[in-house]
Amino acid sequence: MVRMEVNIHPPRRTYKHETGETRNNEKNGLEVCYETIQEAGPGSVFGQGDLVCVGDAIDPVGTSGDGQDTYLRGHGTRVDVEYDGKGRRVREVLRATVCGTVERVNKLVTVRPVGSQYTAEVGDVVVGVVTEISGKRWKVGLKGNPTLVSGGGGGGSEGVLHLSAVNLPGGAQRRRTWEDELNMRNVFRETDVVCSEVQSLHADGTVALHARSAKYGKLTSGTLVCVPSFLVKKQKHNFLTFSFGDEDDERAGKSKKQSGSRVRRRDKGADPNSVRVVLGYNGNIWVCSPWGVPLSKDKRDSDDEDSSSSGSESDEEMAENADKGKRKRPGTENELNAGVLYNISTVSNVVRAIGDLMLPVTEETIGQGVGLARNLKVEPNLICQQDFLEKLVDQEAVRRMAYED
Amino acid sequence: MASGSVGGVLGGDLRQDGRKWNELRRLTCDLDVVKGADGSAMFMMGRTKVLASCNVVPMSTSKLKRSGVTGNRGGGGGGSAPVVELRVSWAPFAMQERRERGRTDRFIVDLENALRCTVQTMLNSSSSTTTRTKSSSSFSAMGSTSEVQIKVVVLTADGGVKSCCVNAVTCAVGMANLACGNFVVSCGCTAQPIGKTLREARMLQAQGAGEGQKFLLDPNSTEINKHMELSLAVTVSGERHHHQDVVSVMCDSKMTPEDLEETVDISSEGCKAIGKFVRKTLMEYMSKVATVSLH
Repeated sequence: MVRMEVNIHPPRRTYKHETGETRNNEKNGLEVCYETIQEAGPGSVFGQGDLVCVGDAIDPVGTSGDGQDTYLRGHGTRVDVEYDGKGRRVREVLRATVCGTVERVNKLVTVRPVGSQYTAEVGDVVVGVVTEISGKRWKVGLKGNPTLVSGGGGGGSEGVLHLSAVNLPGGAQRRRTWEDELNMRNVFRETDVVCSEVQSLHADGTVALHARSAKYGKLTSGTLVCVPSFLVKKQKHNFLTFSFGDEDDERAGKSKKQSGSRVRRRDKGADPNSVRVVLGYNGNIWVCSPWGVPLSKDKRDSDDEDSSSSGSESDEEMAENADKGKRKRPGTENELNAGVLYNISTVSNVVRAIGDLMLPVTEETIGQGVGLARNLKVEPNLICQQDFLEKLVDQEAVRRMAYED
Repeated sequence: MASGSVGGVLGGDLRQDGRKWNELRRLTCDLDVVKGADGSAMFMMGRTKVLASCNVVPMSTSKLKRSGVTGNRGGGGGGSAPVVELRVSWAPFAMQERRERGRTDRFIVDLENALRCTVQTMLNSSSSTTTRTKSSSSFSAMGSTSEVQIKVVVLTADGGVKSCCVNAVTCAVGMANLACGNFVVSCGCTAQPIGKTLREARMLQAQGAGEGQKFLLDPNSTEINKHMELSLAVTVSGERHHHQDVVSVMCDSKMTPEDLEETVDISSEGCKAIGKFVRKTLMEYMSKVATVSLH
């Protein structure tokens, strides 16, 4: 047997990553910023479990163990039986089958994967793209944008939106007739982006959606941004409004920014300069003009209508359009002028940048990102560039430091 | 010292590219390079460069019916391992001379089969050992009816393509958070000893080259052209003193049993180093994502 030593040269990155990170041997600004974030926590503060890799042995008792030697094997783990030379069972070792953090609840030991893909839960707000109309239902692609040819993606998890699960033109609940079935394409057609809620989960993994509330439905006059789904955390509001005021408003925004977010939520009367964002828990995010979201188009006329009456109003509109056999385009009535488009692209690129950086996508982070971009007067096309990304990470680190205090 | 090169080894102990006989090429691995894929990795061993991306999708009903028989056989109830679809494509510019390799190319078909087996080993080993306790090993709501689609693109081929593919696929699968028993890594070694021909032996003698330097670890294409290649894939484990299970040994040339033993030994040492590297890369990525994405 030869004695040898195997040497590995330190890896040297030679090409530019598409997020604009230059990856060289020496750490660049972004990497350093990342480290600041990692130090700033609160990852370290809120004490996640140990990080394990596939095949690592897990100590079933844990550091805070109270002497229990029995355990329950949960997800992400397996029991490896080790034998000695004579084929006798020596001991059992608990090993991880995914990379992730170890979580212990009483006796149950699980490994929760880092950045797992989207698993639907009842009540989740999701944004999907209609891929197919079959029978009485729309099939809605929930993973990425299925209409784009991208890396083989898009074939992912699929939701089913039943005809009976949407509010049809004509208002009140009634039986769905074959005529409704024929007119399905007037409600949503292929490549339409639809916002809906998860109604139930089937055993075979398909997801039943519903769009019965007035706030769900077709999303228009905007753009779809896809980020990794685990970045969209569970939060109170999925329908956000970011207002882009005038100069004096911006100054007010600056002072507000110090206190955290400069978001004006529940913005009555749809400010024409605002941008609306729909956060789907499946990682699809719709960024649009104030009229792109179903409910808001009613608000531009009257503020005080409650959702039910406004819903029926929109239904009537819909019915009208369905009779004409024309697609409804709310955005066209309200001119999408250059200013609105500019704001939309700013917000959507901020969301994209946040997604690329793997930062959580929340109202706060988007608001701060947009605020930063506006304060620094960064053009939308430069938002995904390295310079701005670094500043974004810096800001996030500062935010987390503030949390820690 | 004579300046002529013998069998890829220059005068002294160095090879043509300046490595010692037991040195790996520079390893580079970039994760998350394909947008829209669950897991993707660009793995580079020297100039060999392979891109792998991995997607988990629910299995279509037609496929489910077709594979109904095989699925039951493999699974035995509980959580059967997902079905693996694997495609390898070879960039025409991958080698020095331009060459198209179609879907039916012998080399591609070989590579696809080998890789598919490797991935299945990786995914199966998680469920086979867990049959003891009946809870399913599935990590997502998709359960056992999911299908793993893996796409591998060979961008540059400079020796060790098989090994590089295995490593790239491992990284992609690891990043996609598929439940797998162990990672599989692979490393190559020249299959035929240096100094086999009389002329080479004489030159080696004249140079006074050391004993025991018959095989070269992680050869590049020049070395493979001369000495052929043996590619070994083994499982990698977390601990230092843990055994490696051999997953596959691939070799196109004739070998004596003694040579086989020695080359497998050498390759397995290389695999250890690569395994360490793969683990480190994945852990770095995971810890970054885990901390940064926290709210």
